Amino acid sequence: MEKARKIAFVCPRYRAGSAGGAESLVRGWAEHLAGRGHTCRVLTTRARNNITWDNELPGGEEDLDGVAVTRFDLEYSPPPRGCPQPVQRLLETPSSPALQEFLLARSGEFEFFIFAPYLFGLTGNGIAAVPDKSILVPCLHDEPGAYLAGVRRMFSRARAVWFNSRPEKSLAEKILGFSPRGGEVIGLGVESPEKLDPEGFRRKFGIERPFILYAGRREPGKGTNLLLEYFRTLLRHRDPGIDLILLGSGAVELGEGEEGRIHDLGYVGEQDKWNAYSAASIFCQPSTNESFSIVLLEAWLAGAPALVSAFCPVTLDHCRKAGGGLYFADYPEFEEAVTCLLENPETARALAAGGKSYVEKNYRWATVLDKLESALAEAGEENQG
Amino acid sequence: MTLRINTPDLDVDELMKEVRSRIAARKADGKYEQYDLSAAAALEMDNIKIDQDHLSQYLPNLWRASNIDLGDFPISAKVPVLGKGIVILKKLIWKLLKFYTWRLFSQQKEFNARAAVLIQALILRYEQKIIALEERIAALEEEGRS
Repeated sequence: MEKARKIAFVCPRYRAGSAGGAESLVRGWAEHLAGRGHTCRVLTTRARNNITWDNELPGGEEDLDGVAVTRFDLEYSPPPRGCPQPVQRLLETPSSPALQEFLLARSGEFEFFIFAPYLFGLTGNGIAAVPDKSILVPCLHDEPGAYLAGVRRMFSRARAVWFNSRPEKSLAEKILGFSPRGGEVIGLGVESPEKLDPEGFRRKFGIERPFILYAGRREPGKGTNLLLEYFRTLLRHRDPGIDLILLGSGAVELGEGEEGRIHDLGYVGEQDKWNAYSAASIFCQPSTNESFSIVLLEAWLAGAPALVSAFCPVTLDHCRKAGGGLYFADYPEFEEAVTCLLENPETARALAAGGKSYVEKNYRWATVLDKLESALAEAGEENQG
Repeated sequence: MTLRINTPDLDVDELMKEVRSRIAARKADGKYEQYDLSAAAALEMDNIKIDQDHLSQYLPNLWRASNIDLGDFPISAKVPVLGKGIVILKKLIWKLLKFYTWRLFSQQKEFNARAAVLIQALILRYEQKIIALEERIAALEEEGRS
């Protein structure tokens, strides 16, 4: 094993219900590094909801699967009802003066502070407090906030910046105009449950037809509404006898009579989610804003071919490297890609196999942890130097 | 349609070429003409970013969408017995409405076309301006170094 290290992770929410990409990444890294003998502590807030940012969870310390977790009070003043958040505020809020005090007072106890994701007051203020020990894992998207001057400062202050994928790193270099220190591409490990039960999933949720699966938060930026609209158009004009299943949190508005073909199962347990991947004819990731896309890799590992947005450099790059799926830039491409995958099961199976082999080669935990430990060692050497 | 699998490592872009050739054939057959893609088009705007690849893909779509067909179209009915009567009624309604809807729609069509051309022209103008500025910056940097 590498030298045992003391690492603190800083993220706005941790094990607070449905998890976003950065939260899943922090949890995966912290628990697996702890499993390799490193001391990991997560510094987070009492928030459960990423819209209201209310202090809902109990504060204080607890041990969750070998990781010490400390939850601090956070401060957040939402914009007036109906008004969008001013972009500049994204870098300042939510913030936690208590967490900030902890960083300033106890930074000597830790070798590294790993911050994720980038667009939060916790991250910007935290990196400013402990720049020499800070590692930023931005989970960067091409969004208005990424172009703020404060983001450039944050990236240049951090001791190291680690990315989830090569396209994310390229995007950062394009936006910032410089290559941040470190620059390692690491990502997240993916492991499936021991047993997958596609038939059990169909029985449990009463699904009879083949289906396209979407898993993730339902937000405009995630492309859920576009997928729904494309699927409705597909049913109207060229119904190939396929259903759409949606997993995850957030509201979805279904029209009258659509329930028979569009199944909104909401947030389901891990085993059900994996069973759904294994039963899906196609896994669709319509989001254009991904820095890694855990769900895409999970679906591949469970044996589903993918259909991704042509406008998302990260998922497109995964698809091309893996030979794991098709992509769409507009409705006709969506319709033809779906039809082709359904009419050509041999191709669909070959794509699914390509995706699975890509995940097994690059994103097993052992591989990811080796990369992570080596990146920590390099950052440690830089710290001493 | 049968996709060809020629290599053990699938080339996704090659598969997409086949998908696109299928789309071209369906477009030539007029298969997509009856589709109402206005709701999808509005949602696709979320994907538009200031990126040359996206613009070059989106501008032809914008131009196509702006070019609304205002001409007469075949009017038919699927009902076996009353079909003829329904067709006559529909034709009558179309003729009655046409005298004033045509004016509205033709003005909208003209606006769409002009807006699409203007957007394209603005992009071209700013691209040229950016190239000129980049050249100027490079020349000034060169001067500064020497």
